Amino acid sequence: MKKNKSLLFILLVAGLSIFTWAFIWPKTNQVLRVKKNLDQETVRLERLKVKISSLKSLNEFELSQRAELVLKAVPAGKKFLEVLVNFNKLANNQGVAVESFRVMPGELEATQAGKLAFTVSLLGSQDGVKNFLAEAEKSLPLVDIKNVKITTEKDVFQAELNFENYFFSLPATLGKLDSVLPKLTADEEKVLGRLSEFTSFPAEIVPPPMGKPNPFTF
Amino acid sequence: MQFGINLVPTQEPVLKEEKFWRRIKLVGGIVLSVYIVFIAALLIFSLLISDSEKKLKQEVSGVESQIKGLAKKENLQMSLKGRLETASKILGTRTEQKELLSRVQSFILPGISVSEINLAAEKAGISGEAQDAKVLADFLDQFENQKNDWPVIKLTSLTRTQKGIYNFSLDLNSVISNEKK
Repeated sequence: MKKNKSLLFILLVAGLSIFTWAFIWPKTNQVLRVKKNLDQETVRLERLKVKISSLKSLNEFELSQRAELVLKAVPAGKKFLEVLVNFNKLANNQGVAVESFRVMPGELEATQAGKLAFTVSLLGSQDGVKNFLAEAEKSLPLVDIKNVKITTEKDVFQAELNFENYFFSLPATLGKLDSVLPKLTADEEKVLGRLSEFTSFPAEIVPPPMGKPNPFTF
Repeated sequence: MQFGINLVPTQEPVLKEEKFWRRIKLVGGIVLSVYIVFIAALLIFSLLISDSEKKLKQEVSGVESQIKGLAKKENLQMSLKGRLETASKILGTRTEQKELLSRVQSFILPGISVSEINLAAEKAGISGEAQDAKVLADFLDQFENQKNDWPVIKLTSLTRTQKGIYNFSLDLNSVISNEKK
């Protein structure tokens, strides 16, 4: 009888231990894991809700116009032809001649943000060159004139400008869905206001002539 | 002669053993009850949490699909922000060369003819000729009041020709671009 009781007790303890090890322990771990996950997901949901309300508050039309403006200011790629066309137009407007234009764009496909260095030689009157500088500094795409060398001979100004044009290409993907939507700072809003006052010329790049010349023209 | 029968010692081990098993039963019962309650609580909590998880997942996927639907806006905003940062940097750090040129030209007095002006971010250079020493002195004197903008002024070369004309080269090292930011 005593032996049976002891055996029963040992079996009961062993059974409970096995049950705990095989079922209760994994289940408890699973529940704790789910709870941790749930807490993380709740925080994520809050972030997503904040993001969606920020996105909903944006006016798509206004956003498109603003994005278009800054795209003109800082293009997505190496738009050296646009800069060339712009500078020619500015020079024509100010009665200044573009003597030479030098740029070394390298690989045309821009994969990230960067800048492109240009050198332009101008010939014109003092006012013409000064006005050209003023207009170039208020035109889009944005340029940073690093160096100006002016040599004068009588009334003719010859100016050599070294300037940089910036580009910024976005990554192909937007990143995580719960990433915070960046907001514009007050300074950036001011910059946007300034950019809207800058002049930009419509893109009008004449394609180079292709094919063989017509031998039958007289 | 007396013979006494002592029954107590033979009963003592039986009572101890019974007490032990009774205590085991009691403790075991309590432990088992707590254990059962714990298992029941675990199962109920597990069910509730699974249900909450399912609901949360549905809600999250709903919000995610809404965000995906607004991807165009997000793309525009990201593009706007990234480019504006670059634009702010350019506008905040670049030197307005036209302004600088006008400033340098404002120092050119009658009698001074400039052959070369060099403008860079923190430097300006002027080369030219002055009709006489008086004009040159007046020209150089003007920069004495410009120490805030051009703290370092160097007359890098000065030569007098047979005609009495002074050829000069002047370097103005400036912090003008930084101070104006």
